Amino acid sequence: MAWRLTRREALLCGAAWMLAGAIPTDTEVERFLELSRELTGEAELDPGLGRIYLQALRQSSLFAGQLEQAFADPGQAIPADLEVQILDQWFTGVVPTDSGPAVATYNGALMWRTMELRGAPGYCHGALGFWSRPPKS
Amino acid sequence: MSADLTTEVAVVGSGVAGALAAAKLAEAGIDVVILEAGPRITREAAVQSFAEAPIRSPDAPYPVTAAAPYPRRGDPDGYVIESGPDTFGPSYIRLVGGTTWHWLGACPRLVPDDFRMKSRFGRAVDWPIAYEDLEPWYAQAERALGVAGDDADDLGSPRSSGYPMAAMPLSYLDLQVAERLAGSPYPSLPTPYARNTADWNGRPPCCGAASCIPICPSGAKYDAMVHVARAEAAGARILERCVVHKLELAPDRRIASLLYRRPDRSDVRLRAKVFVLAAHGIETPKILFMSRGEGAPDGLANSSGVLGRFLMDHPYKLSWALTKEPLWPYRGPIRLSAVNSTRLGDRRARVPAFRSGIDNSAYNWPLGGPTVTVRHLIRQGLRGAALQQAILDQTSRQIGLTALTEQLPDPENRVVADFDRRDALGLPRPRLHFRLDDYTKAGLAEAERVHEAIFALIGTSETHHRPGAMPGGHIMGTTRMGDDPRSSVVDPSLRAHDHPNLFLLGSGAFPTGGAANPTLTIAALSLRAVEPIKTALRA
Repeated sequence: MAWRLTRREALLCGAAWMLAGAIPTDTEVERFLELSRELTGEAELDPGLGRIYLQALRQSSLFAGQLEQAFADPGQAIPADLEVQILDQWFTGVVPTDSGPAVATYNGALMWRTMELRGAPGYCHGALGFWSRPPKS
Repeated sequence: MSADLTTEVAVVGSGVAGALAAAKLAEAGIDVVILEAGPRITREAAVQSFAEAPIRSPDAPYPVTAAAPYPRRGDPDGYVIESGPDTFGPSYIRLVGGTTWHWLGACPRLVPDDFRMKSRFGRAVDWPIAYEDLEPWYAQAERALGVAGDDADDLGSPRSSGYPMAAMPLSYLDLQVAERLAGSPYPSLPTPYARNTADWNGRPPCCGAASCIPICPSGAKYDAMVHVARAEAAGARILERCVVHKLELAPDRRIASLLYRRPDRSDVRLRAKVFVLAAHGIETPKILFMSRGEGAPDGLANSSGVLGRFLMDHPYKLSWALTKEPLWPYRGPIRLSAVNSTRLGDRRARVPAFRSGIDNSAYNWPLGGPTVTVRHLIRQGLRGAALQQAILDQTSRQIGLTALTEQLPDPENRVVADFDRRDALGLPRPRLHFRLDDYTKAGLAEAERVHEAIFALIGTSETHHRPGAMPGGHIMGTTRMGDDPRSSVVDPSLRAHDHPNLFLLGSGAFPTGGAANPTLTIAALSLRAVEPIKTALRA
């Protein structure tokens, strides 16, 4: 189905990943995914993207400290700024970097799926005329 | 300077106007050189650049070179200098294939009254040709581009032949809107588009990528690369990254040669028998201004003094709202139908013609797309399933209306070459003077009222109108066509009055702009100019 990452998408993710420093461990990624599932309401989140999003936050001067605190004390409420940023990353696929916003994934951004589209604009989505009917008919 | 090159016909610009003419001439066995200021790109690279761009503006997929800059979204102090008082906002790119890379594909014809604004409504000027003169060329242009339309729809432009391809299936949104507007003063009708509904000359049918602007990933939407390839297959040579900056005059006032500059700032001379400028409504007059010299102090093709004047756009009124039930926008081609009645009839003596597109891409143009909605809902504090539900609810009910509005020609609206402000190659940058007049503003206000009425018929809430006008970026009028050499630049065959072997293709020739996207008319005029170009070649 359209939501599996294409080769080009994997390459895009790779490009973002190359910018990152220390790779988050599987345990850290799982904790981040758990938090992300709760915030997004989405049960199936891509662990590869989770790793990129977590790493982007760790490298951000704005969010690194907040994230560390949230991980250190799971009982504490997550700062609102951090919640917004985590959600923004999952839904839009855009992460902050030192040189400005960068696209970690385009077709893999959660918003397209939430909108019940067949994929992100710019990729072929089906045979002529599928758009004449509502998505689930 | 390198040794001079020679050809029979030199075509400057590889967009739809130049590529179509070049293909026809090359296929007739004529030696053609096409000069393009920008580089050649691939569709795959353009799609990838689009996907990787954090802000997906119309120019996001396309590279810009220092040697051939062009106006970029979000770069108001860039290459084109705007002196105001209003913003023109030109939209063109300098690449092999030109601006059809990111056009919408809309192919409405002008209507007969568009050619007789003065005699019919007492406004502006009449064209030197009538609709009937152009009709056969419209039919040829529709076949050349591959236009899909419904022969049963009366859009006010009489047709001698059917559309070459069956109409594009409408979106669910278009179908629902059409049902609600039927029987009102504002019925919506499908617009003909150069988007394939079947395999057409090796290009596939539309696959619903919902990105006609800025890039069609499959080539289902026509772009001028079709005719660039045809021209090359017939033997035409394309010289890319070659910025033409001067035409050189012979003593008999024919054009003898042109000079182009390469990125290393070296100049090359090309001699030809006939010269065709097809570099769009800003670069074409700029080349002629840059060619000023002895015997032509105000530039070539400018004995009338009107070169660069009468710059027109199609300013847009943008409106958006939420429908009561989901109409599921963002699926399939980004625009498919429009309200056509507001461009017809006696009302034009009072207000300009406009055509309101029913935007299947909803909030893309006015707000930058559904990302804005997603971010707004996140910041409102929605989380989890409630957030997902709200995103689906809002984005499935979004609708946009975009009224393409006629602007009349005004001699004070103009493009000039600014010899004091230079680009990276040391060439003058274009400077625009632009003001929207009261007639145009009345049209935009009327469009807002009509949009309110349309929204009421559809049933919407949270209605918004963008104040003033959104630039359409269409560039028209700067090389005006007319019978009188004292008041126009080119004759009805697009030949410069002042120079028998110089042709100026493109929407610069339009005396008035009507309320139709210009490309099909550009294509029809280019095809119509091919025989006169051949005649000039034999002279």
